[in-house]
Amino acid sequence: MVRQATWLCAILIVTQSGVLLADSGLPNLEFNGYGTLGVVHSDERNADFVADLFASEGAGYSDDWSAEVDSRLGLQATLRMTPQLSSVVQVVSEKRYDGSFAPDIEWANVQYDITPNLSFRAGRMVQSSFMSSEHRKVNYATPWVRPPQEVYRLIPVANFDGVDVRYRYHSESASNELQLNFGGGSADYQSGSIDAKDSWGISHRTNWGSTTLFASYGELKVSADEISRFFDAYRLFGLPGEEIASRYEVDGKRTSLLSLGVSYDPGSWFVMGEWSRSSSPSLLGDSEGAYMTFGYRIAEWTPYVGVARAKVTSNTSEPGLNAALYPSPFTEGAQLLNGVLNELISSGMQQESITVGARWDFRPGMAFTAQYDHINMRSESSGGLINQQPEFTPGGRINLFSLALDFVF
Amino acid sequence: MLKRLTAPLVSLLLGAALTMVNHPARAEVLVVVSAEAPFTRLTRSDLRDIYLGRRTLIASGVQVEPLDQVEGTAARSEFYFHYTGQTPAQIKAHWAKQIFTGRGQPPQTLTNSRAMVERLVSDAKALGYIDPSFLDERLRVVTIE
Repeated sequence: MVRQATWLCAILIVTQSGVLLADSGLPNLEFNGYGTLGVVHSDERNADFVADLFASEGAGYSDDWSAEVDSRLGLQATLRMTPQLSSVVQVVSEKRYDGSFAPDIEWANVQYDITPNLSFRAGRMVQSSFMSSEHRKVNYATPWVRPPQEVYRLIPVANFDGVDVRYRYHSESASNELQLNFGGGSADYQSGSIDAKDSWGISHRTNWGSTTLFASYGELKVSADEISRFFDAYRLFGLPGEEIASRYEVDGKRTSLLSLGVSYDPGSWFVMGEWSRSSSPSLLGDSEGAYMTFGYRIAEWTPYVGVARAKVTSNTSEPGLNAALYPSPFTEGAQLLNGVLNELISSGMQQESITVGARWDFRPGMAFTAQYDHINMRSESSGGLINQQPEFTPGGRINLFSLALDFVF
Repeated sequence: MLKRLTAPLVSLLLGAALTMVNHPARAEVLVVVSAEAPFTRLTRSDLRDIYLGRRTLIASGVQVEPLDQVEGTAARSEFYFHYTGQTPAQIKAHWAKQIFTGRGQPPQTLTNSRAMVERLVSDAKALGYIDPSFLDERLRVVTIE
């Protein structure tokens, strides 16, 4: 898809070159960047706190203070070829599933403005599933050290390769943006990859004075080889196994995501909140998340407080196969499968958290943020912690201390 | 311990008080266009949307190109504080969202009011703001409703 976008780009440049010569100041190339240098301490020593679900290590078990949870660097080139045609390429380096900081392409697309208010893009983009999804990695642009995981982890937001259309329209005193997208993508993790196919989404944003209203809905088909193989094993157990497999398998089923957000920012203070629900008639189940953050600005200082909550609304346990009905070694096999299945469906994020922090805009384009999070994981939930050690007990409370230096240039 | 806490607290409050003093409610910048420009009035929300990159056309269908003074100038801080209620850091964060989501680049910047005037008189689509002492007959003041 990225290759096709590059071709499209090349074709457009050739066909538009007449316009290119006519307009002064074009083509124009801009370079921009953003980044965070951050450290986090977690008092849960038997598991790792991570900001990105796909990272290999985090704070707590692997490191007492980890600089790898929030630190990242993003570089972007924006090429404006004609008044209508432009292209964006953004590369991000951050902790990955393989433990490296190897740079990855986050955005790479070509945009054509059919009118000043209607634009079409093809290539790699980020879905606007949540109010801040598209700029979730640009910590300088958000009040927190990292977006509230109770909402932003409902569906691991990742980039996708596809097309999108954006339409801006204006009413009396409001400006609106309607966005439609279609595509697919994949995300690698330590022992495999998750693919999203036929994903589409629609989102709408209204800026009306100091108020921003956001709504989005999207569907995607998720599949992961590892999960498919797991249910193939269930199918060996005849009809009862088939039933469980067809009920919980992920492949070929649609996951939907509905999101609503609001923010009010008259300048000297702000309040923002989001509510979101993901549903899937599979292992992924149904989850809800919400947060609210309030901040106050005093000169270069922005103290803020926030609360957030995530819960699983579908069942979190399953009797599974009746192991006693099968001869050995199938008895043990059935018990093993049931154990893994229950572990998987109970692993959803169920927690409440309180966040207190302060941001200091000490010079143009640079901000320093200190943040404390208290997370109360409910009912045997392990939240989003990874690298859980045998001594780790789910359902506990953890305290996080984070310091971050954010910059844009 | 108390003493150590008091000092930062006092400086914080002082900072807040100074910010209020530094931003009087009355704008000390004029929003201007070339005398050749096809418009002389703008609504406050149009002006805000144009400068925040949410709109390039005004109600009459006229295309407008906003111009900025460079960061750190008093005119720029004054302009944004008066017409958007936002500090330079908030404007910077706004543009970080726009740039890194492919929604565009901030307005072209000019070094001072003099450079702004020279640019405005040569471009009827351009919209800018200047220190009142730089106003001359080649420009028109835009009424913000």
